[in-house]
Amino acid sequence: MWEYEKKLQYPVRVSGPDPAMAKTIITQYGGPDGELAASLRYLTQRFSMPINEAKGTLTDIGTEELAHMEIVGSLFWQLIQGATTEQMKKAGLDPHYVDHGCNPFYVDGTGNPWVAAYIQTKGDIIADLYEDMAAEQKARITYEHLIQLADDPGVRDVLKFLREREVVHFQRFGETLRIAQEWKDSKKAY
Amino acid sequence: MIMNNEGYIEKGKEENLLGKEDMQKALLYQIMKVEFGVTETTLYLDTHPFDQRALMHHNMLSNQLKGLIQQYEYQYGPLTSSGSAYRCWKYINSPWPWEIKW
Ligand SMILES: [Fe+2]
Repeated sequence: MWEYEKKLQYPVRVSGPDPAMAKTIITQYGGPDGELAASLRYLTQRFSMPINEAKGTLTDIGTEELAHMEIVGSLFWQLIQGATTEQMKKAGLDPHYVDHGCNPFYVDGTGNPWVAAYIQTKGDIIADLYEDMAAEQKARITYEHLIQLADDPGVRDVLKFLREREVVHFQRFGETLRIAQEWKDSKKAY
Repeated sequence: MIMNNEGYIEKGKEENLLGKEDMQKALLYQIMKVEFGVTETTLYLDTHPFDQRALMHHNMLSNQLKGLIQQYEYQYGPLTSSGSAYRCWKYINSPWPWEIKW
């Protein structure tokens, strides 16, 4: 089970409204390489993992990605606070506002709804861990693209933190893959 | 919020320099920092379960975190729904994470 902790994993601080940036950032909430996708992918891959290192890594990284989803949601929400109708229209966020108000929603930057087809589990440790490592790299480059677009030092700071976490997750999944391969080899060697 | 390079409030100055809300934020920030360390050692231990140095580090941070959370909950209310509350259910009234101005 999960228990909520009433805090963000990393503080979110923006210097003012920037709906255009909010519109690009939303993809890390509900886009193909976003935090919802990451969390749900890892958590559902756990069930038939044959080794405990993989169950642990997927549980704990899947949980951390949920915390990242909350950070991205906070970033989106804060970037819209105080924005004028004109700014919203100019940024193209007016349709989002009509459907969801100031809340983030599970869509990518162009408004496509989140779909389960973004993610996969094959129930095979090697196939799933390769998918996870690729997913972390896609999340990393998405954050790098966002950092290129961001001017606000507060926004850049949060995005850099999240980018760094993807690098760490990639590392941990790589180690899990190595352990998985050793485990497979040891089974063949009896 | 007044921070030195380590991110910790300078001892003894907090009462004079910080308002009530700032002190709450400072303690919460300290919890966030220590808990981030715990997240890091947890992920590391998941793939290095016999690493003695990492285990020691993890246990040290985990104890520190427990102490900080106890102190926070005593003063400001539960950080998690299973946390202790005194006098009234402060869980709903303490600042919600996305609304905090850092
Ligand atoms: Fe990740």
